[in-house]
Amino acid sequence: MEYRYALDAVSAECWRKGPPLIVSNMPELEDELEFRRITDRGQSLASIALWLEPVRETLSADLRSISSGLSPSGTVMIVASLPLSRLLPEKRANGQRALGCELTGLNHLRNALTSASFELRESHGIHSITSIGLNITGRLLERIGRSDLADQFAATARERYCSYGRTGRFATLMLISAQKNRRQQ
Amino acid sequence: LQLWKDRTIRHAHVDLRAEKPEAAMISSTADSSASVRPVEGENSTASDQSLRIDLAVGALDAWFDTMRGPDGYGGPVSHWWQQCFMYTGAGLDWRYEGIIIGYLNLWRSTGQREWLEKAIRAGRDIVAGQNHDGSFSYSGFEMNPGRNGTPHEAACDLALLMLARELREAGDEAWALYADVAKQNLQDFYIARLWDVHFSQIGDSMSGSSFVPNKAATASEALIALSWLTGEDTYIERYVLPTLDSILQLQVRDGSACNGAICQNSFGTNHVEKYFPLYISRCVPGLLQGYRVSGREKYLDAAVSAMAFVIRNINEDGSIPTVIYPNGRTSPGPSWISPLGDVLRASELVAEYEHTAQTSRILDRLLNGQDETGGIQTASDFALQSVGNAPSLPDVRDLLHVAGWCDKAFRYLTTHVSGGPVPIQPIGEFERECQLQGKRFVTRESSERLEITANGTTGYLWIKGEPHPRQATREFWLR
Repeated sequence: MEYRYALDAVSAECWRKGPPLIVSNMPELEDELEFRRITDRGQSLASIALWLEPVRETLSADLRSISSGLSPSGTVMIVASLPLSRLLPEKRANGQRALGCELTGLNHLRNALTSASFELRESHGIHSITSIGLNITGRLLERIGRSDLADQFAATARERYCSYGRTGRFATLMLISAQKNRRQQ
Repeated sequence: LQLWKDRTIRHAHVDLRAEKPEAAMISSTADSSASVRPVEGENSTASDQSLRIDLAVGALDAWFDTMRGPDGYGGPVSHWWQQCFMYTGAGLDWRYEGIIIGYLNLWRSTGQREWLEKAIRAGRDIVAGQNHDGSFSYSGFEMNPGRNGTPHEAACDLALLMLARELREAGDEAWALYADVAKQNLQDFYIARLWDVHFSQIGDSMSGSSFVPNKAATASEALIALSWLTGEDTYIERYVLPTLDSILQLQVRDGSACNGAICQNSFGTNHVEKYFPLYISRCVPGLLQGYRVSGREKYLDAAVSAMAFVIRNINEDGSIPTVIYPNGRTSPGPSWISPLGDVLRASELVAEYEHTAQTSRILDRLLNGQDETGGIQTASDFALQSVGNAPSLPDVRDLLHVAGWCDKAFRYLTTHVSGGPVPIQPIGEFERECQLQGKRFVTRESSERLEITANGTTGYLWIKGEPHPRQATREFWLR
């Protein structure tokens, strides 16, 4: 769900700015990209890049490829798991490689972006800890026969699914947007 | 099947009044003029009401035209389960059920070819969107973008089969194409992948025993329509009747306040005891069809009892709670408006067999939800779905005109037009103050765009026909 949410957010940007340069370490998201008509821009320079789950091993190479394929002032949108995602059963199985899952992974990524002359613009936490807490509370209420309140908590959890600013780190996924600095050229 | 045909001849006069395409499916020699029936309102004459409905239908038709893109009818979705603001392209989902059948209703009642052409155009959208595995693209409605949406694909099948029947009667050989597309979907998806051998029911999951009565009822309707069209009645004995029996297993029959209600869903033998009047209403047509094809009174009895539960819960203002819980509490919001067309339709279908209470309050609520755009608003009090205080302004989701909800109003209203030419209605511009997640917005809709602004800054911009909004601040990423 959190990936779908992030890709939803990206889809409007891609629609507005044209086909993106896609660097993906998540082949399982291909269908979701196709559903959203997010297709790679091919050989031409892109005004937007989509980077799915940066991993430590290919971080520098991926960043170079994004930097060279992105037009001046282009934007890269990064979808990265966060350490909290390790609590999710599906992530325990296959999310071990994701840089963002490491305790210092996010800082490492940000430093790498800054070093490559990208300016961080916005970051959003997706599947926030608040939302997780509300859902857990809802399930407890369901167990004691208050499914009416449980549904209200579930709806509130959906509204708090995305967090912004300092609390964004306390989520299972982060959507980061960074702009390529013209001076890099 | 023969029994069904025999019985339906007896019911032909009432079916005609209820819904013309379905009725005509039963008796092709029907006199369509018999179907013209005014709706009685408490404070208006029958002719006033008929004119009001003609105008409403004309405006809805004009609005639907503004919602078309290259691949069909699109637009954002607000729903109880989720929202879908970020995919706005065509959705091959249950919106096509009401759109196609609604246009067929108009064709039947007016004889004007343009309505049949619009039904055909919509049918072509579905044909073009069928995937190799028989599924339809973008069939998730509120879960879009995605495929394998339920009951959405069955609702498309039902619409295609109605269209096929109409074309076959008109001697148009294109009917076979629409029938084949529906048949492939029903066989390759519903039967091959959703049929639950263990519980003998059309399930809702390709893994595990998940069952949702209203979805199964829609699939049953489609399979019955397929049986009629192809003459293959094995679908009914093998799949439909066992599925309807599963629905009966989920119906409350204890004489309590919830008597007649049908549980929302089940996982194996675990029943989820939440009662959604809208979804219960959507079980009714399938149950009645089951009665007609089998002659088994238990399906009629279940439909009557289900509708009695829904009717008991109508409020003074014509609203109905979205959810009624076993502890007697109800959901504070949202309270549907445009979806009420399906409640009215079910109520009239049952009324052919059993007296039901006046539903004019619901009709008033439905018609009063129509605004300058010609679309009908989705709900009131969406914000109350979550924990918090009631806002003073309507929620953005309340005000949305959603193709997959307006189709339900359209389908119902088209069974009550006067039969004369439907008035052409100009599209107006709509503007209201509203809020979303505590933030104030102004929503504006015209025939070209939907724009939602906060303090003069665009928060959401959808150019009609495009698959995604051009702009969406994080409030609109909401699911």
